[in-house]
Amino acid sequence: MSTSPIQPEQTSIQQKDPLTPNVEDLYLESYAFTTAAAIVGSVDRKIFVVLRDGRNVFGILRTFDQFANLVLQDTIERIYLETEEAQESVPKRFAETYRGVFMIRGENVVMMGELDIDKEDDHLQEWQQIPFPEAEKELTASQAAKIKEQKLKSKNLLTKGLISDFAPSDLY
Amino acid sequence: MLFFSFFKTLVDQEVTVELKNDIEIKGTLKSVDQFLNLKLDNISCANESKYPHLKSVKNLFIRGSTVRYVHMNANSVDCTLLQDASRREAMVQAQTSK
Repeated sequence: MSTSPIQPEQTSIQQKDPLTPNVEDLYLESYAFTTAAAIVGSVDRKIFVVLRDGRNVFGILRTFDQFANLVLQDTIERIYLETEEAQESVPKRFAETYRGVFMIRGENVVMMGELDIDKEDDHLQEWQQIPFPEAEKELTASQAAKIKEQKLKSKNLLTKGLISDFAPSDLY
Repeated sequence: MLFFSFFKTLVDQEVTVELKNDIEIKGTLKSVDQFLNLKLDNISCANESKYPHLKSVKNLFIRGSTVRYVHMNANSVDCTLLQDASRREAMVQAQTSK
């Protein structure tokens, strides 16, 4: 009889997340470094990662370590081509390509997050898909232009005795 | 480790994180570690055009090295306590280096 009052509480926890009830909390308690602990709840879920070179990758997180090195399965890389605000009539364009298993070194991660698989493609309704090589070409061109512009800016700043923190490897 | 402890006191509060690429992400701080990597819940983004998929994101892990600023409510910071703690840490460091 004494166990019966506990039961409703247990079911309420299970209802919140039937697959992994508070795995994260268990992990956080036993770990001094929470970098790894913060990611554990996303294992075997669909996540996105933004890399330092500006790439967006989407895939299923299979494993990770304390440096946020990640292994993704069934990865897709997606390019969003930014357009000027004035061109409202032109649909925004994106492209994607299959990359398979993707291992990411932690230092290249800018941010990562778990996707709501019911809503993940909602925003693409307004976007038009174009072939990946085409988008890649356009992106490379715009990045090259950006690097050129930033280098000129850094040079001008330097003549005034100022430094800029721009690094050509950081294009996110 | 002072700022690690400081950020730990901000857990479960609403913060805005400004990244080095000028993007601002608002959310509830869920976790922080010794590299000041942050984990946010219920995120919303000021300029979503660059990362349109952020709308469908449940929780976000941000690497500490890409953060420029963290904006927080002034009420959640006890400046005198923070000052005291900084002095104490400086004192400890000065003693150990002798």
